[in-house]
Amino acid sequence: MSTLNTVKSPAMNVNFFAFAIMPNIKLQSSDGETFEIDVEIAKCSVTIKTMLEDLGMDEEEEEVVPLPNVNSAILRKVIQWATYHKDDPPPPEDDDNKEKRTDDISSWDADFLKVDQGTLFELILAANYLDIKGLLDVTCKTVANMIKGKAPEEIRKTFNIKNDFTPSEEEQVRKENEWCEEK
Amino acid sequence: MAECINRSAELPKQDCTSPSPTETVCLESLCAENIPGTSQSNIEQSLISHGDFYNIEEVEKLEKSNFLNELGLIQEDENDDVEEIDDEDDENRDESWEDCLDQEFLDDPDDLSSCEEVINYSASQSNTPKSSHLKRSHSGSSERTLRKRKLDVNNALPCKKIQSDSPTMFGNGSSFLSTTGSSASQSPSNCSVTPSGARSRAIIPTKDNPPPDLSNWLLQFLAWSNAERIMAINELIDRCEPTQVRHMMQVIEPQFQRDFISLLPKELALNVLSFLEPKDLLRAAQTCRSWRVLAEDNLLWKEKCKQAGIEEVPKKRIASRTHTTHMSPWKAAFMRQHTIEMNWRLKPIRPPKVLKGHDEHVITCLQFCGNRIVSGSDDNTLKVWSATTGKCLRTLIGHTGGVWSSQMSGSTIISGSTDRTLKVWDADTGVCIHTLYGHTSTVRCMHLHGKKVVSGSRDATLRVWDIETGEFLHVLVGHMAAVRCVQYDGRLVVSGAYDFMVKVWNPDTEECLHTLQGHTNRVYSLQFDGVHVVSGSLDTSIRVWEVETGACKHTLMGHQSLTSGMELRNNILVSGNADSTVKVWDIVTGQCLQTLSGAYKHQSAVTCLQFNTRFVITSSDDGTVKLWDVRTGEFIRNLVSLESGGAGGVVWRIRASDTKLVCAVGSRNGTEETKLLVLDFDVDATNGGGGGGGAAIASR
Repeated sequence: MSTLNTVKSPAMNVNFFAFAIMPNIKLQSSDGETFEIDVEIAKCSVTIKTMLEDLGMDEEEEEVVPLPNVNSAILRKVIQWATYHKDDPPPPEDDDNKEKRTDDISSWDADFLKVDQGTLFELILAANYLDIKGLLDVTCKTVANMIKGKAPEEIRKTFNIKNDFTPSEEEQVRKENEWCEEK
Repeated sequence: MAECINRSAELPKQDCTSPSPTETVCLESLCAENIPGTSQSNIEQSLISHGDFYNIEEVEKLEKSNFLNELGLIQEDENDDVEEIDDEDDENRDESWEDCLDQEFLDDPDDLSSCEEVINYSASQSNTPKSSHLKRSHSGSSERTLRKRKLDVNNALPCKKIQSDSPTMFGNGSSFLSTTGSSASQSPSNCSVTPSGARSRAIIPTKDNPPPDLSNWLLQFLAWSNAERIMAINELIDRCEPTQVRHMMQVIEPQFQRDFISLLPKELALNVLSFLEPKDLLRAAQTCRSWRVLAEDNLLWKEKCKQAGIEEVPKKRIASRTHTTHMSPWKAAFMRQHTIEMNWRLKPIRPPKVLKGHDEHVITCLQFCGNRIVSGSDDNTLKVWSATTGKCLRTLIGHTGGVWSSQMSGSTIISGSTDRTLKVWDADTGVCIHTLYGHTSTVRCMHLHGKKVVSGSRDATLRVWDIETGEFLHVLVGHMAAVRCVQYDGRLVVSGAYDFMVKVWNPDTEECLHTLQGHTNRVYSLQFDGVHVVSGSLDTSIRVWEVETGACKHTLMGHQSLTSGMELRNNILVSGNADSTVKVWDIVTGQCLQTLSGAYKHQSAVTCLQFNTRFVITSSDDGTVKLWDVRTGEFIRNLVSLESGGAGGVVWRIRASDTKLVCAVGSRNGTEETKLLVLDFDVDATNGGGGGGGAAIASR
């Protein structure tokens, strides 16, 4: 957090469309790229929102919020997501008693998340770091959907996992996790 | 594979010195074997410790074999003298490699400063790709980081080099490629792509036997900037045959995969897993060790238990008995519950315990709680049974008329008889503690709450008693005919009678608060949850009343006959009818959710029922006990089917716990001996007292 005040460098990239979208916050990715976006969009990240509130950062000033845990490619995706979802109602609180659904991903989100696993992985980390619940939920659901309905060997294939059980362990694990069902 | 064969068939036409078709096929399969395991991981390993002389050699060989796999065939067609060159060249090659690496490292001052950043970043986020260039020259922190690093070229994520050195070049390059096609002479370097000679080669390249000039080719590649490399790769792909491109894909694809569950921070991995259903969690646990640990997480399973309505972990002895190792207690609870559910649903039904008694008489009432079963009969007695052993523990003798109603709480039993009395019994000793006198006709119904019992009689009155002292407390007078059913929640008494009325009473003031009028025939059954009164009548309707106002909220129509038994739970009502169907209702909306009928429906009047969140169990005069899915209304199976069914054998009463079903069966014509059947659905047949956990079906 203390790094906030040390970064006073001007934007590294010139945003040619700055005049058109009236940006009022600058976010700097880990690899030094700067993004200018509407502060309201940026605030869908609880992390950024808290930073702004706690540190009383003046929105008028040309200050840059450094995001050392997010690279530019991922930050660009996150901003794209946040921009599309800027008018969404706040996500409902989790209810532990209710079964969690994974079949409620909007078609836009599904399209948005048609990315390689590496990108999806980093989106999860970024959503967590930036504390964007909606994005974290939808990315985690997407991974869950990649696991659902698959046999152990299919799961391994999907994620390039090595089976590190010994044959006897595997037999034990299989027994322990036998699921009796109707069909 | 079809393409592969096509291709090899074509090759001889193009070049007479190429290997035979069979050899080509063989090569292809060799390549395929190389893909996931060996070559890749070897490259990673060797990249990690590139400073080591030996490993550089390894890298080289592997890079070689990889590239060979991808484009070796063409080269190989024209180069045949690998053997001679190979060994001699090794030393020189190694040196030049090292030189190149050092130079590259020093040449790029950016790398030094950004190294730290990358490592920090990797540490905080497990791993993140950034610049392939950088990672290659720095002995990285983890195997995975290196692997990811390699991807970036393909990913075309902008890295520093592109931004600072040649941001436009990439664009130019690609447009150049698309417009002018493959003009090798204009590309940054053409030395390695261009065939080096027309020598023909007799052997298949291997790790130990790479094609000549491969190392130079690779060195040249490494000397280029990121943008140059991307361009070279584009050119390379352009020159590849479909099978080779497919091979590239097979090599590259796994590198884009991420083992999310193992690599994400634990809480995020658990968040992903929390979206899985139990069935998928069990499969995930079988994937590998790290998945197993996370898929066993106790809090994760606690959540799954909550969602399934399992409120508590069964006692340790049960958990440890069913599963050997250190399974999460909540998971064990879930698995136990699931196994029990499957035992009810589809596993072969174990032969029931047969508890014979009451001779040829009718069993009129049944209680079941814990390990104790109590049956009341028109033979004037009650019998106390052990559900575990099936033994008759006590016979309660004392009534001078048939027993027609009973209640049980702990070891106290209360019975009502045609002899106009109630009796309070100690189930352990079989002793009659109190005989309650006052009614002037048959005691037909009663409801116990705490230490007070309210009894309804053919004498049209209700009486409230203290079962501890045996004291008569109150009498509720107002009905015009026999009281047939009664409910008492400790505050209000609700009664249904043959005068078609339902009455709400304050027992303490003996005042009738509401008379619920509407039924046009005798009222036979009642349910009361403190808010709603639900009454079932011979007029075929069921009425839902508001207890505070006495207003009729809904009249549930649909049954054709007498509603003899009902159960209400969380605003869901299940009603059993003499029309041989059972209906599931939402009493708030008044909607009929399910009708349990269809091809497997009861053939005769429904005598008794019980339900929980999953099942409805129903018994009938047709001699069967049926299991239904409460959500879908589907018939699951017959739990009991008397051979004498249809010929006189009937099931009078049923009571179920989580794991056991008790049925009172018999006949009026002697075809079926009067008895109790006890069916066990517990996880372990030898585990007698396992009615504990879950407690999904509570006996009344």
